[in-house]
Amino acid sequence: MNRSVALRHLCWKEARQVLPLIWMQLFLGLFFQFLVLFQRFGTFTPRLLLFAGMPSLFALGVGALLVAQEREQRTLDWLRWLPVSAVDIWRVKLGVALLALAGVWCVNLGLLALFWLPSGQALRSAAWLGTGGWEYVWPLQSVYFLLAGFATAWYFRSTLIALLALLPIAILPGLLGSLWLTLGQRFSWVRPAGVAFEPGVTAALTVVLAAVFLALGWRGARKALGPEAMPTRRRAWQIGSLASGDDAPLWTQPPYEPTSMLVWQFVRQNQRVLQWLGVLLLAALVLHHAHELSLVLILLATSWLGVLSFQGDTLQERIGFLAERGVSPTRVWWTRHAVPLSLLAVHQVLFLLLLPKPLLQDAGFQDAGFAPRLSVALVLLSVVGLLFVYGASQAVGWAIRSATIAAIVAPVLAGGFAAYGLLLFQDFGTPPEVLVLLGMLPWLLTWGWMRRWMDHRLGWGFWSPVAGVLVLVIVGPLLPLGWDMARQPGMPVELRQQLLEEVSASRGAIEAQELRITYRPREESLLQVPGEERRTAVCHRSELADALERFEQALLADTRPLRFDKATLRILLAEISLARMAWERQPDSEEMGQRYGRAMGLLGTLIERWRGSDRLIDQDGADLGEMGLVHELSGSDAERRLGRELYGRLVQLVGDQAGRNAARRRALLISWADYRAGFRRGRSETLPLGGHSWRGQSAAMLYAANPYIRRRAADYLTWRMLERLEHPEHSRDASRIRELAHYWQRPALYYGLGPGGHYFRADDPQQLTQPSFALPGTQSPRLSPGGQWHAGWERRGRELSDAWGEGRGRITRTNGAI
Amino acid sequence: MSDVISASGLTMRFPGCRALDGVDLQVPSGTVFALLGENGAGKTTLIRILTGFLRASGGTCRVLGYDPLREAMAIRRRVGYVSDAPPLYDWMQVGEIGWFASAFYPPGFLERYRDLLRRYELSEVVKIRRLSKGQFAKVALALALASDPELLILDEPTSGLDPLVRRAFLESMVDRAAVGKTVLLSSHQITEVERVADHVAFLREGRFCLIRSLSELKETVRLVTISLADPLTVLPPLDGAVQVLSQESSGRQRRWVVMGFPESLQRSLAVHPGVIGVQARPATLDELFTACARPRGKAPETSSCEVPTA
Repeated sequence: MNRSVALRHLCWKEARQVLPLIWMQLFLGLFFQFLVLFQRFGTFTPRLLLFAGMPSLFALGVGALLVAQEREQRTLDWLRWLPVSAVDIWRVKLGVALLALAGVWCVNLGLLALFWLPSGQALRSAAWLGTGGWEYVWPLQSVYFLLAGFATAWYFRSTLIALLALLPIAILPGLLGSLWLTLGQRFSWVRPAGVAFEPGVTAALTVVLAAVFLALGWRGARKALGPEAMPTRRRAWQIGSLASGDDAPLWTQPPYEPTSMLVWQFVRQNQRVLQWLGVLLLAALVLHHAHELSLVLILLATSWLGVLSFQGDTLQERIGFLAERGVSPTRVWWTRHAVPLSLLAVHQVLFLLLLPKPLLQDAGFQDAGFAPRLSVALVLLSVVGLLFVYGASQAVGWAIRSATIAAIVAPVLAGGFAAYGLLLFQDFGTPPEVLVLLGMLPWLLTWGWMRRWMDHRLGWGFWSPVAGVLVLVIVGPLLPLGWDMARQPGMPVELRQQLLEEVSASRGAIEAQELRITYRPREESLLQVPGEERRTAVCHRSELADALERFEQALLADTRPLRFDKATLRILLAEISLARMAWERQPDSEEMGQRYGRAMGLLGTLIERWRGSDRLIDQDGADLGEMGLVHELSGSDAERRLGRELYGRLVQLVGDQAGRNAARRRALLISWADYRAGFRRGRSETLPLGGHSWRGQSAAMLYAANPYIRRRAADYLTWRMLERLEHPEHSRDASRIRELAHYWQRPALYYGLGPGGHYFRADDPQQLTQPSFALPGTQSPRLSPGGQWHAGWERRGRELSDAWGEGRGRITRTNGAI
Repeated sequence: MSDVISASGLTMRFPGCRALDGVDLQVPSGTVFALLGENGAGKTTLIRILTGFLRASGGTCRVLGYDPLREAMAIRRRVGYVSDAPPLYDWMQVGEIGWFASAFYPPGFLERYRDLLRRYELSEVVKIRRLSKGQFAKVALALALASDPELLILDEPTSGLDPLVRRAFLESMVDRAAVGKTVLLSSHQITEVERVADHVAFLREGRFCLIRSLSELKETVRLVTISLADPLTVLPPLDGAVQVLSQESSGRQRRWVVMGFPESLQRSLAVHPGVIGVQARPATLDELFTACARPRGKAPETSSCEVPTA
C-alpha cells in the first residue's frame, strides 16, 4: 500500500464530507448579510459579528460532522478496518478540518468586503471587535472551538450530545477570563499595571485550553479507533439494580396502546439527548439573572428539541420500521412532538410562574400596576416565539438528514427568521396574523408530507413543497404590501398638469418666515418642583407682556407670511382669555380693555399672516386661530370691548369663506408641488407634506422608501383633499373621512368620526370654550390636515360676518350656548 | 383462485435507466410465488411499488384488492414484509422490538413472535446491534411472520441464515401456502426456490421473460446436449413450436435449454449428418435461470424469451 496515496484518498473523503457544512455556512452567511442590509442602525457591528461568527459556527460543527456522525452511522467502523493507522485517520480529519476552517475565514472575509466596502461605513464604531488585539482572538477562538468539538465528538457517540457537551466548553475561556478579571480586582498582583488585559488574557487562556483539548481529542480518538473493550467495572446503579433483582422484562407485559408505544420509543431512543437538553433548560432557569445568556440557552434548547423530534428516526433510516408496518404518519408526527413540547411547556410554566416578578424587576419594570399586563403579554410573546423557533427547527431537522448540519443550521435559521419576522412587523407593516400564519407553515409542511418522509420518497414531490414553504415564508409577507403598492391610485394626468400650471402661476416670490413668541425667564423665575430634579420656569405677567411687545414689533417690522407655531397660538389664546377675564372683573379698566383688544388684534394679524403662507400646516394653524377668534367674537359685548373697527375687521376675517378656501387651496397645491419636486431617494421617509409629517398610508419601510409609490400616494391624497375642500358635503361622508384619515395615518376620530369625535372637530360650539387646542407631542388632534374644514365654526363665522354686514347686531352667547 | 397481486403494464423509470418496462403479473392466492432475476433486474423495484414505497411511472397494480399508492397503509398492515435491508431499532433488545411492534397488530402477535424466537434460538435480552447478520435476519423474519399476514413479501429472506433454519423456514412457507396464505419470494437461492415455489417468474432488464408454474416448467423445459463429429456442423432449423432459451457451444458439444422439445425432434436430430448423439433431460431451475439471465446477444437461432401468458 502506498501511504501517500492512501492519505490523499483519505483527505479527499474528509473534504467531501465537510463540504455540506461549508455550503451551509456560506448560505447562512449570505442570508444574514442580506438581512443586515435592511437594518437601519447604520453601524458596522452586525457585519463584523457575522464575519467572526460564521467561521466559529463552522468550527463548532465540523468535529461532530467528521467524527460523531461517522460513529453514529457506523462508517467509522469500516474506516477502522482499512489498513490505515489510527494516527493517520486522526491527523487527516483534524488537518482537513483546520484547512477548511482557514478557507471559511477567507470566504467570510470576501463576503465582508463584498457587503461592507460599497457602503463606506467606518470601522471605528466596532473598534472593540476588530482592533486592540481582538482581531487575533477571534481566529484563535475558532481553532479552540474546532479542537474542543473534535474532543467531544470522539468521546460521545451521539452528534447532538457531542454538540451539547461543547456548549459549556466553548465558553470556558471567557469564564476563566472573567474569573481572572475578578481576581485582578481583588488582588492587584494578579493584574500587573499597564498590561493589555482582556484580549491578551483571553488569547492565552484559549491557547492553553486548545492544547488541553487537542490532547484529550487524541486520547479519545485512540480509544475510539482502537479495539472495543467491554466495561469490566459496573457502575454503582447497575450493581444496585442487579442486587435488588430485575423487574420482569418489558416484553412479558401487555403491550401499550400504539400512541403510548410510540411515545415510549421516542423517549427511550433519545433519552440521553433529552436529559442533556433538560439540563440546558434548567441552566437557563438558574441563570435567569443573566438575561442574554438565559435567553440564548432557552432558544438553543428549544431549537435542538425541534431538531431532535425527527432526527432520532432519521439515523440509519429507522423510521422505515414504522413505515413498513403501516403506522399512521399522523400518529407518528404528533408523538414525535409530544415529548419535546411537553418539556418546553413545563419549562415555560416554571419560568413564568416562578420568575415573573424578579425577571420583570430586573428588566426595569418597577411599576406594579403594569406588571400583571406585561406578564400576560410576556407569556403570549414567549409562547409564540418559542413555538416559532421550535417549528422552524423541527422542519430543518426533518428536511436535513445530517444531524450535525441540522443541529447547526436550525438555531441559526430559526433565529434569523425570528429576526426577519420582527423586521417584517416593524418596518414592513406586515400584520401579526400574517406572521402567525407563516409561522405555522413549517408545522404544516412536516405534517402534510410525513408519509413521504417516512417512505423515504425524497424526489421532486418532497423538495418542491420544502422550497415552496421557504419561498413563501420569505416572500409571502411582502406580497400584500407589493399588491397594495401596485394598486396605489394616483391623480388623473390632465388634472395633475392643470394643477401644476396653477401652482406655477400662484406661487409667490416671498417666502414665509419663522416667528414665535418667546420669553426668557430670569433665574429667580425658575421654580423647584417638589419630587423632580429639574426646575420649571414660571412666567410672570411682566415677562409675557415684554414678549408680546417684542413679538408685535417684529410683526410690524416684517410683513411676510408666517409659519404656524403652536406655542405662539397657545400663549396668545391664553392671553386673550386672561385679558377677558381680567376685564370682566374690572370692566371699567381701560388698561384691561387695551390689553384685550391688543391681544385680539394680534391674533387677527397672525391669522392673516398664516393664511398668506404656502404650507398646508400653516392653514390648519390659521383654522385653529380663527376658531379661537369665533369663540371670542361670539361672546356678549365683544363689539363693545373691541370697538367697531377692530370687531368689524375680525368678523370679516372669520366670515371670509372664499378667501379662506382660496388660501387653503393655494397652500395645498404648493405643498404638493414642493413635495413632488423635493422628493429624492433617501429623503423620502422624512419629507413632510405641507409641513405635516407624512410617511404615506403605510408604516412599512419598503413602502416609505419607494419614491414612485410615495409620489402617487401624494398625488392621490392631494386630489382627495381638493375634493374635500370644494365639496363641503364630503366632510360628512364616513368612507371619505376614513380614507383621508388612513392616508394621513391619523385616527378617524380626529376628523370627527366616531364617539368622541366632537372633541376634536369643532362642530359643536361648546368645544370652542376650551382654550387649549394642542396636546403634548408632535401631533395635535385638532391640527390634523384639513381636519377643521367645513366644521361648524366656519358657519358661525359667516353668521357673525353676515350679522355685522346686515347691521342686525351681534349673536350673543349665554351660558356657553350661542 | 383469486389473485392476491395483479399488475398490468407497470413501468418504472429512473434517471438514466428503465427499471421496469411494462410488467404484467398475477399472483394467485395460496401459492408460493418466486421472483427470480439477476442483480439489477428490477425485483426490489417491483416489490417497492407493490408495497407503496415507490410510485410507478406507468401502469396499475392492486395488492389484496388495494391500490398501493392510495391505500398503502392498509396493505402494510395486512402484509408481512421483509426488505433486503430491514431497518430495525438497533438500540432495542430482541424482545423489546417485538413487544414494540405488537402494539400495531391485533392480539396474538407477541406470543407468535416469542414462539418464533424460541424456534430460531434467539435470546430476547440481546441488543439488536450486537446480533450477527444471520440473527438479524431471523429477527426481521420473526417480526414479519408474527402478524400472521395474508401475504408475505420476502426480499432475500434466507440470506445469512444457517442451513437448519433455512430448511425450517422453507418448510414453513409451504405450510403457509397450504392454509391459503400467499408468499411472494424474491431470492437468488435457486435450489431453495425449487423446493418450495409453486410459480416462478423470471425478470430480466425490467421485463418478465418467463412466468410459469414450476411443475409446468419441469415438464416442458429440457436441457438438450448434442454431440457432434465436427464442431462446424450446421444443424437444421428447429420447428417454430420449439423455443430455444439459450444455447452454448463447447468444442464438439452444443447445449441448448429449450422449451417444448418433442421426442420426434430428438430422433430426427440424432440421425442428422454430423450428429453423434442427442441427450435430453429436464433442466434444473438453476439452468433455466442461467438461460433466462443471458444477454440477448447470445440468444439462440430461432427465438428470444417467451412472453409470459396467463
